[in-house]
Formats: sequence, C-alpha cells, structure tokens
Amino acid sequence: MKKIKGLVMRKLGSEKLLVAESLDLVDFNKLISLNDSAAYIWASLPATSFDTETITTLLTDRYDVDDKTARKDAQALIDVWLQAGIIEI
Amino acid sequence: MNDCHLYCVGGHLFAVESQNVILSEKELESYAPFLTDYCSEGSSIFTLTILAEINNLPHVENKITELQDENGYMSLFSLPNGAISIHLSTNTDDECCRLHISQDYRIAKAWIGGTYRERRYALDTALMLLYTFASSKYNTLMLHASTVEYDSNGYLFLGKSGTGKSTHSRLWIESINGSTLLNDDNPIVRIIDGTVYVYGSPWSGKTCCYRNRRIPVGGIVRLQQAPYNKITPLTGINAYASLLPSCSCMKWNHEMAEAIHSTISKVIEKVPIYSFECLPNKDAAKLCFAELRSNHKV
Repeated sequence: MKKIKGLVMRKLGSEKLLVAESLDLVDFNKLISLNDSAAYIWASLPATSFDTETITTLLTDRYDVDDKTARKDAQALIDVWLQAGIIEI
Repeated sequence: MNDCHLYCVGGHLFAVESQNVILSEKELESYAPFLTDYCSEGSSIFTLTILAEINNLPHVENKITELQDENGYMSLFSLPNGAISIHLSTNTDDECCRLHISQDYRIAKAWIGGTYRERRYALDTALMLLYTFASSKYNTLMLHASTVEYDSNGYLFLGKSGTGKSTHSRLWIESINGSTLLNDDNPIVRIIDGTVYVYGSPWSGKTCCYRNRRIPVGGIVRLQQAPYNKITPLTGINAYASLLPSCSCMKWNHEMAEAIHSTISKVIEKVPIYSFECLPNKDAAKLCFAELRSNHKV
C-alpha cells in the first residue's frame, strides 16, 4: 500500500489534520482529522510503500499492546484510510 | 501615456499603472473609494501594469491547471523563473486577459482586451488574484462571503454559490434596525495585533457596495439551506472546515497554503463561528442576530 501523494499533515491546536496540497488533488475537498496514534502512524509510514505488518510494528513499538491486537487495529485503520481515500493499494 | 494609481485595501497598498491604455472612470469606479495618495516606494504589496490590447501574445506551454466559475474560465501556466501566466476568458474561445505574475507576486503585467464587460471582469479578476496571492503572508484572507455591519461589528455569511448569502444579508438589513451592508461578495479579513478585522473591498459581486471601512469581526456563519432554522456553534476542526473552502488560495502552493492555514487557525480561536441551517425568511435573520449578539464580547 501507499500514501496518496500531496497530502500534508497540519496542526490545529491540539488536533492534527490531513489536507490536500497538490494539483492532482484539487478536487479532494476533505479534511481528515487524525487522533494522536493515527497521526504518529501517518508520520512514521514510509513514502514508498507499507503493509499491515509495518503498522502492526509501529503500534507494538510505541504502545503496550500484544501482536494480535495490534494487527487487528492496523487492519481496521487501513480499512478506514482506504475508505477515506488517503491511501491506495 | 502612463498613469499610476495607488489603492489601499484591507490596509495593504497596491499600485495600478497603465501604459498607453486609459482605463475609464466607469471601469475603475469600484476602486475609487480606495484611492490613496500615500506614496512611499516599496510599501505596496504589488504593482500591476496594464498594457495595451491583447493581440498576438505568444503561445505558452506548461499548463498547471484550469479553473472555472460562474463568471469565466482561467488557465494557469508556469513560466521560467517561477513566474506564472494566467489566461482569463468569459467564454471558452476568446482570451480577455493575459496576466503574468512574478514568483514573489509583487510584480505583474496584464494585457487586457475585449468588450467593456470583459475588460471589467479581467481587471477585477487580475487584481483579486494578485491581492490574494500577495497578501496571504500578512495574516490576510480574501473570503467569499456577504458581510453585514451592526453596532460597528462585522458579521460574515459564507456558503456555496446559490446558498443565499446575499439574501441572508438583505434579510438582516430588512429586519434588524441599524444593520447595513459592508460587502456582498469578497470582504478582506485580517488579523492585526490579535484582533480580527473585516474590511470592505472593491470586489462585491453584483452588488455595488465598495466601502472603504474596517470593523472588528463579530462572528462568521456558514449558511446551508434547510426546511427549518437551526444555528450551531462550531469549534476546532469543524470551525476550520467551515472557513477553509471560502478562502481564496492556490492550495497546491505550499507557502500560500501554510500562510492561509495559519491565519484561519488564529481566526477560529478569536471569533465565534457557526453553522446555520436556515430558511430564506426574516425569522432566520432574527435568530442568527440573537445568537451572534448573545455571544458578543463587550
């Protein structure tokens, strides 16, 4: 999987937003709000490509969760992000 | 023959020079209230030079994008040295303005032609674009909004085209004694020393309302048509999301997008922002007025 190119993370007070900043995304009229863990994952993911395992590792590295729960959360996050159109397969 | 006018809009100076073209008083009528004779070199945020008729201009490659609104078409091209070229037309065929803008947005040239209506459209669009680009780094926003003044405070109504921004302003003026129109389409919002101000401008859509006046912003309301009247205060990301689509910006340009983001972030901390689902009736204006004034900080 890959992040959609041209999305930028911005801080709004204590909140984090993903906004489009690219000509290819002129019609991307959405603001995506990220909570702390989602913002951490987004910022840590490589620009090239990643998979469920990448996110699982990021979660287990930072949070006190077992591998199975982390993998389930990683998959859930990927589903939400695919639906929001901010990552692509 | 050269002609130079200096204008002050939103507290920013800009200069309009014309070479061998005489712009009629009628073409410049919306700018007349903003004329100033304060002249100090280098203090203008930009200088636009208007050149003679638009004929035999060279073909330009490297199209960045095309945009369209209810009034016309716009194509953007990148030029060498980071400059941009913008081609305007009121229909698909005939170019009525070619605008070249330097990378720092401070120096621009416009070749303007066509009918009176086209020339007026070209001049207004060129100046609005330049103003938006050049002022963005000074805590300034060009908003798409209708704005009413009451008790020396400005109330801005935002919304998609056709939502009824102008109608809502008219309903305020008809139902609330002492309310007047400040601007009907493109007011300027600017933060100075921690206060958010709204200014009238030479750009007011179809309504001739070109008021050179500055007042503090009392509230910003995003309108949405509904079969009832319901006003909801917004904070954080919701307030941000209601302002962002109404702020003019080249959102693919990192520097400008960052500047607009920073200004909007500050505005939503200082000014009450609302979402208003409403009918086009006087009750809507009265409800909106009551809510905004109850929040008014004395």
